Amino acid sequence: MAESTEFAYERAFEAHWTDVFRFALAWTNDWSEAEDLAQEAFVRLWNHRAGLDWERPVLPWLLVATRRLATDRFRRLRRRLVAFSEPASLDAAVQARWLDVSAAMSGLSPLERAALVMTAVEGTSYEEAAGVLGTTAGALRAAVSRARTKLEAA
Amino acid sequence: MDPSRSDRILQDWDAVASQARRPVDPPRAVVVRSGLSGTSLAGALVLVAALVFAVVWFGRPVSDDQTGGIVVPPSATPAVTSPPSDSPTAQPTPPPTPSPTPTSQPSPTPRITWCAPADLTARITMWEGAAGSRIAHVELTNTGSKDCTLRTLMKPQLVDGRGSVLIDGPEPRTSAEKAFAPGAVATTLVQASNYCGPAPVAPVSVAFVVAEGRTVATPVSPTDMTLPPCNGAPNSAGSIEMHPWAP
Repeated sequence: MAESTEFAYERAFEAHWTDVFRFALAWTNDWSEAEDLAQEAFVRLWNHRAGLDWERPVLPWLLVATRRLATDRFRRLRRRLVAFSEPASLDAAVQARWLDVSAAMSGLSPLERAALVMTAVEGTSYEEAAGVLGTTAGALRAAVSRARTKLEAA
Repeated sequence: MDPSRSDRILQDWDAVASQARRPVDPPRAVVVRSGLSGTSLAGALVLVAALVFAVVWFGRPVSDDQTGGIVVPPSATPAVTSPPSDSPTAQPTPPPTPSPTPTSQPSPTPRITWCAPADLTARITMWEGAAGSRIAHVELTNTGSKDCTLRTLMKPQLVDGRGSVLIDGPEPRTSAEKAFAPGAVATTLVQASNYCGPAPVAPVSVAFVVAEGRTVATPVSPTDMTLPPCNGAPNSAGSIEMHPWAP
């Protein structure tokens, strides 16, 4: 049983790390922070592995965990104590492109960014995205609309 | 039809985000935040060893707030972290860290000399504005003549020039301890939000309450009136939190 749980965890890591990272990137607009958050979300999944129903999709659990980790107040305080670091895992050309994209997205709130990316890029339904983001589908539509308006005006 | 500006930005976002590379191994036990760029893995392991030693020495677990992102695995389970917030769904919480098994011949407990407020001097070095909050950078010095043990988490308060409490923080449920030699300096951040009370008497400052008493920080200036903005109804409760004293 322990072996199968471990296997399920590894499968989840392989299947969903990218999804978790992209969600964290949309929420934070910070590459290094997103890498940290993805790592921490999977540590949390590991810690909860014994009590999880692995027959059910684990991605929503991971995304909610990521959002909660990102909004943890002490985490935000800790982040203030560490210097900004460029994403070491990117080559120079991609890094430059990321700086342009992140600057364009910086005028959006975390909710607006995540709502827009989830629905417009990842193809998540409004209902599903609202569940992950802890809001209603109506509020999510309004956030997406605001985000579009801001990006067009930027 | 040409894509709109927002669509072009999202296409770029997608293209760049797809460059992310998944780590080879799934995380299990030790996590070192990449944000702590100066912290080597070796340093992290030394910290882990020190924390394990502290747990054994004091006979009780050390608060997660002190680990700086390092997860200390107990021997019985592969990994246990204190989650920074609730579990995302109704999942069982991780089992508590097992407490030491009592023995018929208990080892002697070292006597702890807590730092007394009279031996501590705190001062606010600056205030930082944040959305809806104000963050005080505070420096604490052991101005006494003896070594003492500092609680790294205390009950923070926002106070006015008369010492009246404007916002009362929570009692810490647990706190780690650190040795605090004479002349040693520790720093913290205190975040206060939503002050909706009457105008206080200057200067505004922060205080730290422990069982031994209260230490009020010297304000930035004698006339300082830094207050977090009121974001709620008149007289609604504010909030104040502190980061553990570090290093």
